[in-house]
Amino acid sequence: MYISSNRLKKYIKNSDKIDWLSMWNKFTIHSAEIDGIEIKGSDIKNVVVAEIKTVEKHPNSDHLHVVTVDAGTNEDLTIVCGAPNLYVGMRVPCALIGGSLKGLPKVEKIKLRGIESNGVLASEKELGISDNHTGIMELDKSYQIGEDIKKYIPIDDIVVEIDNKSLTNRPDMWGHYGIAREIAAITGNALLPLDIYDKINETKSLNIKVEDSVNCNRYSGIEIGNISKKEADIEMKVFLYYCGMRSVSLLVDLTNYLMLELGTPMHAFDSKKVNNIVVKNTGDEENKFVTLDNIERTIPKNTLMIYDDNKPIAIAGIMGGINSEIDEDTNSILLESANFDATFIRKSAVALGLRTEASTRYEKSLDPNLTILAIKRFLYLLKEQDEEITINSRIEDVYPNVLTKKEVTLTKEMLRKYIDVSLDDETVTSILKSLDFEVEVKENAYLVTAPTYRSTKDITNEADIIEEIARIYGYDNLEPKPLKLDLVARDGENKYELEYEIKKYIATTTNFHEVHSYLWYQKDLLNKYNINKDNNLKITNKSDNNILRDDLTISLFEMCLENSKYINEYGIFEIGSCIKGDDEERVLAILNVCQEQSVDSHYHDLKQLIYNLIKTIRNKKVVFTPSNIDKSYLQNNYSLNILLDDEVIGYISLLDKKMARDCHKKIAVVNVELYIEKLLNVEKNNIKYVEPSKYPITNIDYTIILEKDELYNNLEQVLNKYNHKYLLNYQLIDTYEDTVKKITIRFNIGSYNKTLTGNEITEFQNDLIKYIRENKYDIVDNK
Amino acid sequence: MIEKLNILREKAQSEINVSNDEQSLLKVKSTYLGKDSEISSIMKQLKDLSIEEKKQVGQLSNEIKNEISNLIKEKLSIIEANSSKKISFDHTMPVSDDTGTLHPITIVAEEVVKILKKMGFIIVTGPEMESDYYNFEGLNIAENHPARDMQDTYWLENGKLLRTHTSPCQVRAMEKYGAPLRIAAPGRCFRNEDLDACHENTFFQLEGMVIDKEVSINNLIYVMKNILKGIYNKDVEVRLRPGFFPFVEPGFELDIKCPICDGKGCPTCKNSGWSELCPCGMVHPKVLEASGIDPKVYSGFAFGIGLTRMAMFKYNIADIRVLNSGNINSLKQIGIE
Repeated sequence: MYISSNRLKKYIKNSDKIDWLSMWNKFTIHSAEIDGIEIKGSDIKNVVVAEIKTVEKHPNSDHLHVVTVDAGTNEDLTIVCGAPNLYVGMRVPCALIGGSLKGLPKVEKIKLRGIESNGVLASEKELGISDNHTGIMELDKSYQIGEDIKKYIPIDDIVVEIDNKSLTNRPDMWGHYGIAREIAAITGNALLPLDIYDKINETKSLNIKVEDSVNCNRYSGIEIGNISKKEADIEMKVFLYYCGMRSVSLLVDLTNYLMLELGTPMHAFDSKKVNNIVVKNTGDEENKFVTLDNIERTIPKNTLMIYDDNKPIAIAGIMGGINSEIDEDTNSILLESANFDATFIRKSAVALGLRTEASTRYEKSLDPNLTILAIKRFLYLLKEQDEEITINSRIEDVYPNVLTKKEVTLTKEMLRKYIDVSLDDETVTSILKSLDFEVEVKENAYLVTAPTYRSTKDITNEADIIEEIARIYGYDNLEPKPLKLDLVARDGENKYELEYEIKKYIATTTNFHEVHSYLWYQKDLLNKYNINKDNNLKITNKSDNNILRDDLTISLFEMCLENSKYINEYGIFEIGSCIKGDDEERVLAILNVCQEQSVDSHYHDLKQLIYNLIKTIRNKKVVFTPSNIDKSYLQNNYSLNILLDDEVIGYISLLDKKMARDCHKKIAVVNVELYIEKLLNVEKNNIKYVEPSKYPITNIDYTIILEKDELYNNLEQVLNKYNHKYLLNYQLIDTYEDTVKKITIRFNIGSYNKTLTGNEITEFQNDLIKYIRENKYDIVDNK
Repeated sequence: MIEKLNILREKAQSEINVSNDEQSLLKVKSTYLGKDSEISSIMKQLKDLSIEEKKQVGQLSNEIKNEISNLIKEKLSIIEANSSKKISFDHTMPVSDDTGTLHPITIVAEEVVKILKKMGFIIVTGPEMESDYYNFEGLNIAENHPARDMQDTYWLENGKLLRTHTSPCQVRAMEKYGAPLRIAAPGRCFRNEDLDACHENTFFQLEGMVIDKEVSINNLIYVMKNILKGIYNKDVEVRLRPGFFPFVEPGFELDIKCPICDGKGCPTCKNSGWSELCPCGMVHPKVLEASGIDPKVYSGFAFGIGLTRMAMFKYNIADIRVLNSGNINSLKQIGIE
């Protein structure tokens, strides 16, 4: 929203003493954010009122003119000008030599097709006060020749743009008068009352009926006649232009002006086109309706409209209709000044896809008490522009939802708690009064009554009043203070820490890269691999790729397809959320893309990684067991469940061959998932130190022979079942494959009580060999 | 005999000195220390000597034996070191630069978390799929509140939504832990936005909240200054200005002196000299009340830090889409700390 400092000055006493540029910085700190400041008129220099004395065609041009003007200088000036609208006796803005205009080079004496030009006549656009560039601006005959143009036209101004978002909760600041009130409070100056026209003697009533009194808070109107003037004066036009609006006609400009001044939208119907105003809801009907912008719109059900009896003539709070609009012949109007329910208007505007200046303001919860003030202000301003108008009716006012002022009791204790500085009653009272709040000082509290324009939603409780006091007092006047010391160690969850620890472990011990993927699937990918996720939860208001993922690996695989275009071998991982029905789980997924020929070592490295990871973070050993994983895209003959404390905490497997080869030929993809919540529930193992045996430990290596395609896992199960009092543990030492699989195991034997004798060792060896052979394996002593 | 021993000693020493291979040393060893060596034969004759002589000669011959033995060992290890297969490799071969990396968001989140932990915050998390209550209602964002328009929400078929901010963690933490409270919650959020270089539908925030008796706006300013000091590793000048968020009252926008131009004014700060950093405010009494904390007894403040923006700023990433691209060529530059 654009705000003209010129306009504000008129509302504030002693406003000429305010340094407006630095004031806007204060405004940002105390009230709302300024998005930008533009100094208007700084590029308009040495432009005076001149009168055209002669106009002749340029001898060497078919469109240029040679004019002489009286610009109040000693001699008339000869100027070459291309505009079509010049005539003798016309008063025009003339930039003298050395002067400047908007968007033009500095004015100098130059020859145009052989004739010397001693100045430039200006269009409105070149003065920066409108977009009109069709001809030279025609000035009022009352402007004195030779006077600076800025004496008559308020070109100089400081226009600021206020961030609309920062005004969301401040309906009172959606007009210049409300902004002026803030500035008055910030600078400690008095706010001047608005001039209004209040002598309304006419008693004729208007037919206004509010049928939907839930969504129409108030509807006020008046009929005005004998309007003859068509155009607003230049000051109003410049103001509207600076505020980002276009001048249309006196009446339209005035309603816009009122909206910019008081923040409350108004609408003028041609009173000849309207008889009886009825405010009602479209209910179950859908209408076609042509709005002021000459677009036929479908009005959705349950929209508030203004009717002339049964004919819709405006969409309440959003836009008027073409059937009742004011036109060139309009000389009497029915002026609407109304207030509608904020939420209802917002929803209607969204449903219509039509957000207007009016609806934007209504949806902020405007003060219904503005309707009458706005009418009286409108009358005053219209009379100023056109003295001959007549007031044809009384102010008709239907006010079904009366707004009461909000009263809040602010205890002094609460104020002290929020603002750690001692404020005396006088300071508190004067701050609140500067914002138009009423204050009654009690022993322990302030009884505060908010003005109506702050009572629509903004002010409801103690904290709201505290904000008013604190922001005017100045947040920068509050001394930073530390919190009280508190040495309690608090319990928390550990999820963030666990996830970070896992991610850091992987990143530091591998060359894998952490990635972030979206929470939804790429539909194309699901289709390509025939993965059916139709039963997954979906996002209702997202058109493409709206299926939420329940499988992080698929999300990561999508990234592999992209990365494999550039890199051959790599690993990526992520800890992310998966949505499984109504539940959400955190999952670690790793994909290691590698050459098929070295897949065994990559697979093994990942196994080792998981083993070491869990040992690092939980002091526990995971167990891998062959198992089927319920995912169509895995090679389940290579799947292992990862078990911790007998619970499955994840898996390791290989992706489907075809998928892997879509990354690149001769590529395999090793895949790991770990379930974070499962891991979170596993407690760390508290290690208890055990004194090592003082007696020697004997290592005996045996090679056990397996069929070529038999899994080590089978042998391991056999070995794990073997118990012998002297067997401490065993390790895999070596494997060798030719026609069979040769597995060398080192058995460590010993006792905590004694040194084993040769006989005892031999006894163990015989027992072991017997056991292995009983289990159908051949065993060879490695000595 | 003593004389003889001393002669043997010198002879042995010089022989060891000139021996340059293992074999000759072993020969020296057997000559002087072997069973048939002269020293051995002297030792055998000890029994015929007087007690005094026995002591002198015995001591000396042991001393000499030890000495020769040590000299031989020493020489042997020198010879071995020189003669055994030499270790031979090119120690100037390059090392691999192929290290793992963390995501930029993970790194900046941890940076902030570390600082907050030092200040006594506990770190909590919350689900990405949230209920209307935690995302809106419990935060004083009523059904018709315009804030629900401001944050275009992804709604789900089961009536839940993808959280639009990390603020639901405030409500969850208040319910779980009650007051007093000091939590921080980093996490991923979602908004229904079209993607371009500056807009993402998936981004990260970090929520912070402090509740205790007698928490004031002054405390908020102090704590925020210290957090920023931690993040930027130097004192930063901050200012508070009014900001509107339904779950705080008063609500603020916290600005820092523009780090690009140091407050002189530049295009990044729109010539204001200040850069908008994080929204914050005193927890709205209704929010406390809704979570069962008595606003008459307790007060507190909350703040939000945009981790995505922080990460982009830290690494000078201009296009936000890089972060969710999974592109290794981009992400491999990032590192771990």
